[in-house]
Amino acid sequence: MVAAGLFAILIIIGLLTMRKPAVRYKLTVKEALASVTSPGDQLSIDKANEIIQAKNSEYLFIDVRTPYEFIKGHFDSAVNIPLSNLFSEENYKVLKQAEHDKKSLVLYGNDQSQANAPWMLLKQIGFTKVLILSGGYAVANVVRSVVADSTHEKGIDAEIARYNYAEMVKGISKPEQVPGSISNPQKVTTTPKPKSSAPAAGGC
Amino acid sequence: MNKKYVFLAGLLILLGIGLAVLPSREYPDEINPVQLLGEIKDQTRFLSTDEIAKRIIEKDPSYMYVDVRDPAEYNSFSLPGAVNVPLSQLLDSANIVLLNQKVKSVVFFSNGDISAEKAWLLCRRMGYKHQYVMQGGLNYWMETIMNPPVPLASAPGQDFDTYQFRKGASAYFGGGPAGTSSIVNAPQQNVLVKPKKNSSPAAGGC
Repeated sequence: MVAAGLFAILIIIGLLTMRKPAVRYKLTVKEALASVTSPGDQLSIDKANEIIQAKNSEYLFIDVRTPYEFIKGHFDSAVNIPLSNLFSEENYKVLKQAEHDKKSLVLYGNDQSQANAPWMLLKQIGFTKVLILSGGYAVANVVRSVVADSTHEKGIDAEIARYNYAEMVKGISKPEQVPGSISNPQKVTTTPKPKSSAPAAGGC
Repeated sequence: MNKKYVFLAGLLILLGIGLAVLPSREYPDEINPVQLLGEIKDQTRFLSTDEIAKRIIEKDPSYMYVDVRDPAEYNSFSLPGAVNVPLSQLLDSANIVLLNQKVKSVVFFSNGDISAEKAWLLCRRMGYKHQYVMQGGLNYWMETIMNPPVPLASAPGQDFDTYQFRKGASAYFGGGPAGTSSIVNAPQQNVLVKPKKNSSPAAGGC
């Protein structure tokens, strides 16, 4: 009877102490895919500038770069949450507080790809109002200092093909077709692998 | 019959029923957000364009290149041997079979590295192994491999080696003729794939 009692107590203790992890996915993978491929979460640099100048408190800028980079320069009113500490208790509280205050989070790094992964993570763990700055801090600075013109858009979105790849590759001919090519035609030679190591010298 | 055995048996049956009705997990290998963040922190998911060029030239069969752009873009240009899995169709069952490879490494690429990274992150969340992203995407591929910048005369020798390799690679991929650049003096024009170092013969026992 003692054994049975102990057994039951152990199980109950186990159930009681089982803690749910603090950070869990709220979106399924399918929902996540749909939400990260919709273009609605991009905040343009012009819009960001407007928000910053108007000191619009509906947005909270989050700088995911390292503290060192943050000190060297950041958007006014931005909060530094380095990527590596995204889920630390303290930072998570800041994020939750912003959500509670119905603020939109705007993530930015030096370039957009730096903020991309944390942005996706936050969306997947259930934050609904998370935006990502097109381009990022470095591009934003360039845009601010240069007279705004439409050409800068090209530099901002990393996913725009900057070249016509097919034309570029077609345009330059293969070496064989170049008359008077100086070197021998075979450019890439794979040297055969040397015969594998010498036979192991045996024991006594 | 001993009462405590009946009690124990009853308890175990109850627990068993409890287990049976627990919601099944959609992706059994799913890794949690904290682990995923850890992987995001270390940058090992990125493969450089040089490394990828080398592997394509060597025809390394253990790598699969996945173009996550639209079919139209894929048809106009892609890496040699790449397969097309548009990001929006990432989770189609046919594509899942392709991406969840136990043997091959999967390298995602797009024009930049953002779309590719999205695919990477979702696949890693589902626990798929050997997933990578081509750093900088095709834009960077064009800038480094197809049209490599000539290093400054004062640049370290390694830069020239890289340049030599890229020139050779660009010729391989249909770019400009190798070795026509003025700074190149004749001898070192071939891209040599390094032979494996010969290990010293094992000295026998005693």
